[in-house]
Amino acid sequence: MTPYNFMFKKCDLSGVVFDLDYIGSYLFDGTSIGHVKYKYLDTELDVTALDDPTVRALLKNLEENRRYAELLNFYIYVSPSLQHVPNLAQAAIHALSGALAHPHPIESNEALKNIFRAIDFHFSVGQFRISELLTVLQWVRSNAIVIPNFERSYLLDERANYFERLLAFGRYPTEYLSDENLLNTPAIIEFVYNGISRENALDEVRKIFKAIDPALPIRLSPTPTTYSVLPFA
Amino acid sequence: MLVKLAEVTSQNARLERVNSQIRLHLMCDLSVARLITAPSKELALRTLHSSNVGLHMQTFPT
Repeated sequence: MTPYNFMFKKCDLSGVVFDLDYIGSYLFDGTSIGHVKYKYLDTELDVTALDDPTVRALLKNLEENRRYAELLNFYIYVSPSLQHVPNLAQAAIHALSGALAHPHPIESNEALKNIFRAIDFHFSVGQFRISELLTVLQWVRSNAIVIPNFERSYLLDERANYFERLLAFGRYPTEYLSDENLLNTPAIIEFVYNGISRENALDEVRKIFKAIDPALPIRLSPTPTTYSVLPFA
Repeated sequence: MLVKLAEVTSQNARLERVNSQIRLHLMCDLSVARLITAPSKELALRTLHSSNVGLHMQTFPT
């Protein structure tokens, strides 16, 4: 299978053969790629054959051809099977950095948009963590200021705003939160404060709740900022 | 019992001193605990980072 830029939603891809060179252009939503087969340079590979030399040859190819969004997707898809890969934040920064340095303005902008689209998608399905997104945002913010090209600077700034709003108002993957059994399961949260003042410890915890309150993705009670807290016995 | 989490007091949380640390335990639904400890934890810690306070959160389902 060698079409380009497809998104697969809730598909059963068992036994489907993908050209490894195109895998980075695909987005998989609710679709496992654990049982797909790969073809590279006319040779069919089993997923277990995604060894470092093959992958590295492909990464080099993507890099040389400045296919940075695909490079990032590829990292995300193959990273579980590799020994040494940069973390996803570094992979994203590498891709953004490459796209920014692209000599052709139109292709540079297009690559940047595709990378942000990929980050947005992978974040929404839980493959890209908040800590990784924060690292990328920090990089984006610092580069948006220093880039002489207004259009690219504006694009970075606008995307950083978008992701910060996303973080602040929540569009997290919530599958793991929707289990009804969790609602009545008691739990204890432990906060460890490095200091000996009880009042300061309480103050810091209050600050945390105040900070995360608008970011909570779902409300468990009809009253905003009120949550079910069990009394100690 | 419903309380505003922003109004945590020594009445609805248990505090104990362990060496040079204060440990604060708050009992709640596991669903709430998960909300607080992940993914919002990272945002909260980022917010607090500037105040240079070491604060860690962990959930213990009972």
